[in-house]
Amino acid sequence: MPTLTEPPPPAASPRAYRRTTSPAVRLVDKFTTALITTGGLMVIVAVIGILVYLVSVVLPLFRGATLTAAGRYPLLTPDRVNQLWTLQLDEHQHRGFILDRQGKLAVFDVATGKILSDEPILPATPAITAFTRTLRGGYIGLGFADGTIRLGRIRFTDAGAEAVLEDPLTIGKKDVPVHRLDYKVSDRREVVTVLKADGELVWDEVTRRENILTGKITTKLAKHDLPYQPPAGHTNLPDYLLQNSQGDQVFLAWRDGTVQRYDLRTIDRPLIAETTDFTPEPGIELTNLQFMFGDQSLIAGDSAGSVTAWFRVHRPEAGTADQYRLVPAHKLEAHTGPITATDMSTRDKCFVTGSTTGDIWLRHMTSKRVLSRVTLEKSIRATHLTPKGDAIFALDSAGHAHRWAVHNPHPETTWQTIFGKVWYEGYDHPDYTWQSSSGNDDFEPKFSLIPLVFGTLKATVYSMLFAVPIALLAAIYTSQFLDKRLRMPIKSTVETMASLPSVVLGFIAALVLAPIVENRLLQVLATFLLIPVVVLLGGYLWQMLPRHVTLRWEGWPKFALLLAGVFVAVLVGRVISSPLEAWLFSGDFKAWLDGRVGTAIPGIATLAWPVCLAVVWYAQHKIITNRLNQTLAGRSRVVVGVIELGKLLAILAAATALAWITGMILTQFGMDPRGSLVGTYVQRNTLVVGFVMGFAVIPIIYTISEDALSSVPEQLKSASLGCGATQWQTAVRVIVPVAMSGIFSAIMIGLGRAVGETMIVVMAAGNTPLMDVNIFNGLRALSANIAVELPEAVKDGTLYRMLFLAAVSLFVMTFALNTVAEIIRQRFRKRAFQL
Amino acid sequence: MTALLERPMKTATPTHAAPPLDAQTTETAPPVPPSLADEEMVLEVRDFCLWYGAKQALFDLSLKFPKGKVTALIGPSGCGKSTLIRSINRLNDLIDSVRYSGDMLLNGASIFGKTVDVIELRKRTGMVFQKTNPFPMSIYENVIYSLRIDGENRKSILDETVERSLQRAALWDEVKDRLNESALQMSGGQQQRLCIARAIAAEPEVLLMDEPCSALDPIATGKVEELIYQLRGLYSVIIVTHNMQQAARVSDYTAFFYLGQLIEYDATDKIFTNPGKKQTEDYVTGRFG
Repeated sequence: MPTLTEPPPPAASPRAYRRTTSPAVRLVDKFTTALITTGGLMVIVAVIGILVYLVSVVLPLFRGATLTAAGRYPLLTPDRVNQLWTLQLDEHQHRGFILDRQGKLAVFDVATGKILSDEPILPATPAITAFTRTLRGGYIGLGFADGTIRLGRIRFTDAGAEAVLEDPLTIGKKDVPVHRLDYKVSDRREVVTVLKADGELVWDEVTRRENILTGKITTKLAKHDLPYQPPAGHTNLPDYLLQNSQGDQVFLAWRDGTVQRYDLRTIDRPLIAETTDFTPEPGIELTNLQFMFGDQSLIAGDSAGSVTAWFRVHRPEAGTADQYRLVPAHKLEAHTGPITATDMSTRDKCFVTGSTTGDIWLRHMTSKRVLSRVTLEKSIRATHLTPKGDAIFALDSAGHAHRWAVHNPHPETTWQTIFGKVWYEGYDHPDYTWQSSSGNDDFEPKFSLIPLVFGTLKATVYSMLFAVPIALLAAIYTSQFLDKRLRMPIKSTVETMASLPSVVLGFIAALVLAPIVENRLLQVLATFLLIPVVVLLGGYLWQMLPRHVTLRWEGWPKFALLLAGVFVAVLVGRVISSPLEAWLFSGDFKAWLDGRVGTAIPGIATLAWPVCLAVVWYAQHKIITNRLNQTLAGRSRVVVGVIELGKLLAILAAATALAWITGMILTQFGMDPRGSLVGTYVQRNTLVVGFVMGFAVIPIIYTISEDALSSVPEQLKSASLGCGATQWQTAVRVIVPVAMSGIFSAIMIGLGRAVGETMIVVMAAGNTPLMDVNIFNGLRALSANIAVELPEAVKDGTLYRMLFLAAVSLFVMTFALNTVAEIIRQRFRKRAFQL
Repeated sequence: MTALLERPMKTATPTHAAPPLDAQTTETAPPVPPSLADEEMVLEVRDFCLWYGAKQALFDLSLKFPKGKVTALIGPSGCGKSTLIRSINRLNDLIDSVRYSGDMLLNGASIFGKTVDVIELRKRTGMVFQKTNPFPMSIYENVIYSLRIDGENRKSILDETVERSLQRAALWDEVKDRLNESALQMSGGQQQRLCIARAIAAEPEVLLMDEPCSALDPIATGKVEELIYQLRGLYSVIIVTHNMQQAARVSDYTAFFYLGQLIEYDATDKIFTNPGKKQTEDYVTGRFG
């Protein structure tokens, strides 16, 4: 019996102690407060610092170019300025030359404008009637009044510049002047196309043979006549003749904007492919037409000041002779006066345009951006972008030379090119493309982050589809159903899964899982569908067992039966996969995925099956359940079990039938999942990534949501059970809603992990930056992209900064995700707060 | 409160045949008081013993609860009142280490028999807990929870049940205009009356109350007590309470427990005015406890 204890007697001599806090305690308190505050602030500062650094690396991408005036001087007389064929500077901006129509080559000092030499490179007759030069290499071609052409090269030397010309070659009829010519030199071939004043159009391939004994090189032309058929109403000869460096496209253009394209891919059958108008508005003349670096796009400048880039795209429906068509892919900002001069960069898609109003703009074709602009008082006669792209040199109509130093590190990147659709040369339509490097020189890097963001989201979505149901059901099972003694060991085991390095998971995914999934694709998919079905059936069968059996088998036997059920599902999947393949997919699932065999019905039916199941389930719940329950009330357990099992089978059958009918109907409407949700099978694909990345995020989602579920107040569980709810009803109706905020955070943290996950996607996703929802295709995620490309990025180069931008985007994505998640979580939390 | 565990059934399999561990310590149950003899009984406890692991908590209890009356279980902390009441709907099954012997009969049907469906049993009993525990749902959904889990979706039946239960729980007038608001916005006393409404919505054969007022302020307690008083006749109520005045106010019969044994069980008046045992007298007069 409890007794009240007496209070202890007061001590004989109570120790006097101060009721003040000792200075040491105060000091420690102050010190720790300061330390913790400093530490916290440092963390915040560090995070902000990292962000600021990332942004500072990224920002230069969006700055245009800067031009710095580097000198002006009178160089030529105004008369001679109008007589120019070409103007060039060497790559060190040390010497420059001009070549005029009289054939005089004037070399000058770039810094001072002093003419160092001014010599003719040709005899006075015959007169030069046509001139062409290549963008790189200094090759020139000259056409003469006597019907000959001379090929050659002007190169910078220590002394200045020297011209080397080969012997004249006669083209066509003698003494008919050459009207226009174009000469292209590439690694593989040299081609020259000549238009004579009498309308003779000749395409020549240049071959050189060296005489081994004499060392003399003889130049031979392999001649092919092209039909000259000017469009109706064009009696005069064309004003522009251009050909690409492969020599398979030749363009004739008139000042009124009419352009005729020849397709010479089979040179024996030259084809006038199309005629189009570059200046559709009446009265506007084509004042400038040049190939962009790479010889794919034509830059057309007109008398209204417009600048348009045209290139050839595949358009079978356009009805052109070769199924290609010239399209005005990029319409750039217009000058206010006619375009008088253009020069192309020899390293990227930048170019300079000059107009009569004295404007000189440095532009980039693909981004359509005017990078920088300057204005002179006089009309521009010639512009030149130096070989390194680091200076602009221009001559105005008074013969004055102007020079600007150019700082133009990232001409190709704008918000539009990074996050918008861009129409790259050779592409049929504007698209999101990431392709940072390639083998050839004239390649244009394509920096769209959208395919990478898409890849990240795709990998995340598919892995979450796999991970969330498993992790949540496991969490519900361990927290609500499992014996408490088993709970901790199992939880720790699952948590150990999280400690597997993701590189190991990626390795397993790529080398073990991917081949297995590839070889047994249908079996794997069928097993995933079968496991829940078999377990569900098992549950129904379990109910039919007599009660004393179920009571005795509760515990380990039940668990073993469950495992056996999973094993049976795997076995059934193995057995039925090949008949299934033969029956549904014409015996070859991958061929079916390619769209080579079979109809779309099985595909739609499979995809629609879960939805149909839900619909049927809901319908029967609304219609039958109440009546059935009333009828069954009081029947024996086994009878009820049989009827319920029959109901389940009927529902499954009905869902299958419904799915099949849906498939038939949708197929009639021409729908086919192949090409969208499913499609051609690639070994490294999203399915494999989904599995393995799902495996990586399961432990996180599981452990956090398990904690949330376990911390639901016991009295709620008791209340629900006390009302006669089963454990499953209690879990679904009470525990899960209350724990929703925690479950939600768990999913969001898992999502964050999946978004940032790198090694698994690097190793198992194939790294193809495609925008394809097809689950059987690969992807490239932002994180994987950074890991893969950083080693080859030059510091402070465009790719380098783009990768930093990818990092910032990744940060923004996770930040946005987490913020949204937190907001939603707070709402859930408010609801459950008063418990 | 004892931590409840996830798995109810495995180790809680009835150990019917197992003999009581300590038969010597059991006292013979006191005779049923005369007045009780006149009552129709709803629940009969027969030789019930319960162990938490190796520790015995209830010793050979045998008593009967009258139908349509309020029976209070009193006694000092740890005497096994709550354990007994939680055994009636087998919520103790949730604790892995619980074993028991003996049986109870609810309207003649065994509670601990091998073929008893626990879920069904719990549907026949209603329980109100010490801590108010409305579900985080609307008031309406709280009341019809036990109907919902049985798959009852007919609106007319649900509406009718909500109104009847809330009226019986003396809550209808306060909440009839905000049935769809969250139950968590109600005051503590209202929440507890809502829990009572939820428990009686399923028309339980016996209504178990485990210290329903211990977390409430005096005014709310008063209302709940009044409600319990009004429920007599409609429901058979078994209430565990620490508060002697409460037992005296609301109950028809009172059973006094001490250290897991039933000391005295009689009409409330008799227990409080003229107890048959010294221990009972000491307790009700506040000499220990």
